[in-house]
Amino acid sequence: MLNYTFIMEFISSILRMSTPLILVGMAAVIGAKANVLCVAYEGMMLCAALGGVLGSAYSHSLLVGVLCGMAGGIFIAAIFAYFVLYLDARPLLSGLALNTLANGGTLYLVYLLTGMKQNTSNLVSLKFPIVHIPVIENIPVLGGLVSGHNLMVYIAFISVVFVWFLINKTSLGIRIQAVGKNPDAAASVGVNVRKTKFIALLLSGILASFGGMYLSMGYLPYFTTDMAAGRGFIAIAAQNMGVGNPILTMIFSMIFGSAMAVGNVAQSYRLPSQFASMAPYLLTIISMWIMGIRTRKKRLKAGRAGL
Amino acid sequence: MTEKQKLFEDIKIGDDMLTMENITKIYENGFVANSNVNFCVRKGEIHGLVGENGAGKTTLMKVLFGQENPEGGRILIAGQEHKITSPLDALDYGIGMVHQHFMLVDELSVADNMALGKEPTKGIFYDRNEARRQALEVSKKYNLEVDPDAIVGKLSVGYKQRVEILKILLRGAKLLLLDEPTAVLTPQEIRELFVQLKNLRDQGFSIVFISHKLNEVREICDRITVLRMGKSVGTADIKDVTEADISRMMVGRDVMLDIEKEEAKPENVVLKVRDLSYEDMQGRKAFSDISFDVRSGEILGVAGVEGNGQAELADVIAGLLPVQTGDVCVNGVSIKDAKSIRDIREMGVSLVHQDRMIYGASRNQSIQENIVADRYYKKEYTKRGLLNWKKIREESQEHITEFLVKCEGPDAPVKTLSGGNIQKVVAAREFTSDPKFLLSCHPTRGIDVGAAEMIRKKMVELRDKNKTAILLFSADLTELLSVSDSIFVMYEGEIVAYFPDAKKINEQTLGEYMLGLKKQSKEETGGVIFE
Amino acid sequence: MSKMKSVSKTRQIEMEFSILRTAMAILISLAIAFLLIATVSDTPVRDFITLLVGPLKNTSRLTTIVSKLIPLLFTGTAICLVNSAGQINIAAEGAFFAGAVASTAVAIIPGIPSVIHIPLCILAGAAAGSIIMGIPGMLHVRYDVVTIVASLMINYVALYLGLYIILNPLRDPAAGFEASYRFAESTVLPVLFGNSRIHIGLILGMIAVILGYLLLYHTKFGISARTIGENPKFAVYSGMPVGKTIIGISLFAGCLAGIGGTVETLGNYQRFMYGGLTNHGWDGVMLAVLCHNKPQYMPLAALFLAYIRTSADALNFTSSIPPEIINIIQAVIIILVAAERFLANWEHRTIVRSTKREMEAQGGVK
Repeated sequence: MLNYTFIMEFISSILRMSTPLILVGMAAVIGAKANVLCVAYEGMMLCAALGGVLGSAYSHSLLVGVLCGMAGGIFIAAIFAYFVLYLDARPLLSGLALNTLANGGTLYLVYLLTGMKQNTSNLVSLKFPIVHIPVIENIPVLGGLVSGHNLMVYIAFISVVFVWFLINKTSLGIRIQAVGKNPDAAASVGVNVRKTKFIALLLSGILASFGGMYLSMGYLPYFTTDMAAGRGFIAIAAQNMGVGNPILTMIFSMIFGSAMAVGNVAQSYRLPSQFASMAPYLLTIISMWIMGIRTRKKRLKAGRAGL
Repeated sequence: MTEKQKLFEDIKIGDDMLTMENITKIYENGFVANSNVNFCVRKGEIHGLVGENGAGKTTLMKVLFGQENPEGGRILIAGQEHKITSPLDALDYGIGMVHQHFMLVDELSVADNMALGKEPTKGIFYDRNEARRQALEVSKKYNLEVDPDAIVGKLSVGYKQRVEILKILLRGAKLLLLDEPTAVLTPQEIRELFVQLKNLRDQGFSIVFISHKLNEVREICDRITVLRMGKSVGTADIKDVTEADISRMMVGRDVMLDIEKEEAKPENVVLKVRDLSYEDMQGRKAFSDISFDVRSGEILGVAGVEGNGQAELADVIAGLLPVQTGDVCVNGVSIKDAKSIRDIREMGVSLVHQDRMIYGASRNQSIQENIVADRYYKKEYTKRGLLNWKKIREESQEHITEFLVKCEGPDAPVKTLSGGNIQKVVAAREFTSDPKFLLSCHPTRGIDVGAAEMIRKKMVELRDKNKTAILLFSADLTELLSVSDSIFVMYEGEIVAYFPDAKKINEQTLGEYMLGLKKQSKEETGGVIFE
Repeated sequence: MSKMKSVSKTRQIEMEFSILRTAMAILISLAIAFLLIATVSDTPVRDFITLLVGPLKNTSRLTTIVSKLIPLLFTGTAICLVNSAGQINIAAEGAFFAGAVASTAVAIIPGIPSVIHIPLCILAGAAAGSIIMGIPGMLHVRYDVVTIVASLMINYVALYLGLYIILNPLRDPAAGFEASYRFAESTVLPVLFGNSRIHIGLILGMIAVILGYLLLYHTKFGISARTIGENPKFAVYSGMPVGKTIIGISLFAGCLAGIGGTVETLGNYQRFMYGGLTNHGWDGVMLAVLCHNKPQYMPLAALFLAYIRTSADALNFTSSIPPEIINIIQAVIIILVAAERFLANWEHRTIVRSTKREMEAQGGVK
């Protein structure tokens, strides 16, 4: 059972499951840095997934598909940002409402354009290519590990580096952190707090778009209803566990992705997959609990004023 | 250097650099924070802006820094009128402010904080090395040592303040506004800060130093301007005035109608505080080894300049902060074992917190719900398992009538009331629960004269009719002197004076102890202990 | 006296605008719905009318409205309760599911008389629900865990744990598909009117709403809960039992959501057949917003949601328009109602104008 092919297949399954989580996790990292409670990632993913499929199907160009996908994610992110930042809408509700909007809106568009009611399997849309890295792909073991994955898998890891650089090495990143942590301080030196948060959310939207497009242009070859399936929320959990650090968030995304992969394997061996599926969520709760035990001591010292 | 910054540059040392004329600032709720205030800073001086809490010092500086737009008056730089409409604008002119609450991002490094808003870049990247270089350069230039890579959140308060000063220096500030910079510092840090400030002055900078601590003002300032109740009382060379003079200017001699009250007839001890100390989360000692008693049927006043441990003392007695060392007992029962503030209130304690909008009332809830907040759970308010709203409404209406709360009725949300009426609602709750002990913190701060008068009378009434033991914290000395039967003074977390008879002292004497000019012996202050 | 008058006038304007905001939100979303229908339909007017009044066309659809309404009463009230105490606890979703699973486990036991069996099922559902919603509340009070994240996570724990229970110990291999054993005959919920599908869940739901309302506005528990929601520091200072109240209200809300899951399952199915979360919890969150967390408005809000959902079904039935179009309407309404500053400028101008007029009027009298 534990032969080479199996292990390789399992590892690539982990990568497949982790890829969208990492991408959306990075979106969540930026959102968290700007201190905006955004739960609209599901909606962004759905719109992007559909945008990518439609764009590539009608233009026969992957690039156009990607642009359409990004437009879909940015669309949701922009509405969210506008309502929350400029109309003082409560972020949680706006996020939930936009997820619902994306759910209904994508299905409406699918029906409008293809006449189908559940998915776009009758459209010939493009997929992201599989990348074969020359030279490395011929090295045993390493070649199998590193080469031969969907393009988006590589982009996911690149996005971690991108977000890390963005936050730590650009002035935009410094400003995003400043408006997130102490908006008064940022405003006192002339940083436009709303604008900075808006830009952060749009960047978030772009990253979430890639996560969504992977689902419909890599993981599956078509768009199907509600295909984000809670991944936007798991990504938030990964970000939460990774305390906003891109690398830790990536690690937690991969842990959650692995749990999903284990679930799939278990299912194919007719074992109860539910426990593996549950693992990421249970893990989050338990870790938050353990972290809480530590802060509790501090709080006792602060007395009732700390409440 | 910008055009605007050049304005200050061209002024000679010792000349007037900036003048504020007839500044009037009225807040939205109608509170007049500044009324025709005049203020002038010279180049190369440390100018003390002194006055009691609420005298309008911070507001005046916020106007200068562009954070508040004044309703009247103008600002002159080198004799020319200039409009300062935002902090960014102020920084352009070379005016920088260090707020009491630091404007720093805890998660970022010192260099990042200093660069924020005008980050140096190299291509698409933030040039952190350049930011570090700039930080080090300015740090070296003004001899204020900082580590550019240190994360701000991990630094001490004094260190953060240095970063704030450097931050505005880096932006080219020539006039530094420091809002009570010593309030949060340890004595060592204060000494260090003073050396740094004098250094800056000698390099041609001007500094406005807001404070109400006279010894500090005396030590560091060249000239002072005194504000009282939103008006400027006058400006003087520090050489020409004594501390007693300043204290008189600050406190004033506004005569208040004396409260009619009989001689107190104190009985048994109700509140007993022994060897109480409190250290905050940052390890700063708020107060130490405080012991005193409050007897039934007396009002014990606590005087002190804000920030000398009174707020923390009140919060420990109320159970909001933990009893760390020592003990607090009400009628012989320690509050240490109380599981909630309700347990403390159940001992017959009533609490008026100094911050009425946070701890004293819930603005979106109705007046009646605010009035019964401390007692709604008792049997008499429940009928067949449900709340007896009829009784609650009737009782609230009675209290509303008794305390003259101007409102539409018991159902009106508290947020529709004025500050004075909100405080009346607080009093209507705290004074009517038949308290054995009442902790009353700044009960009349910021409210209109009529409401203040009524609340003071009610306290005296509680003392006489109910034999309540009352501990009164107040920054309003006239109030303290007229309402209290006896008074103790806190300075730097200690009791420095006790006056068994409040009638025998005046504001000047009180002021001298409050400002740390005088101190009684242990025997004298021990007079506040009766058991 | 004059100042008080203007205060009450301002409050009146504020209330009018709150209603106007909701009405505008509904109108705008209906306009959008019309546009969307027009793009996909050959008979847009007919279809739009179906959307508006379709559910009223026949009794079977009226019944559908009510049966869609029942679960919403439970989850909506549950969310009103936790929200009132300042807790963003969205575990009603998981509590609803857990309630359905737990009551299934009891409902498949044969040989218990109805009078005992149904209450037992409800008890099981209530217990499971309160555990699911109570955990995030407890973690928040004791360990400072952020309620929204914990409750989001526990929804999925409830889902997978529930699915495991249903698909392993409770799975009926003879069913031919993934479902539990059949519920015992004794768990069929009594029907209210003749042959309709309207079961006693409706009454229980109304009781839940009334209990929620009474709890919040007519008990001492409710005063502390609402005070904690409005100003927790004031609640602490006036001596309210903050921790106990938060945990208590979370448990009770969970109870309601769990019972919701129970009656929904027993009332509509012969076996447990959910394969995923049912969205009733999320609906509850939206309804609670529409109601400003006041349970007394819940029947109306839930009726509205149930109505447009039934419209969607009707549309699906009479035309080829996908029912998900209704999600768009729902989302637009929620986001516009949630936007505090939507129409704010207009409102502010109105208040200023009214105050000015009043001042002038008084000036005239003088």
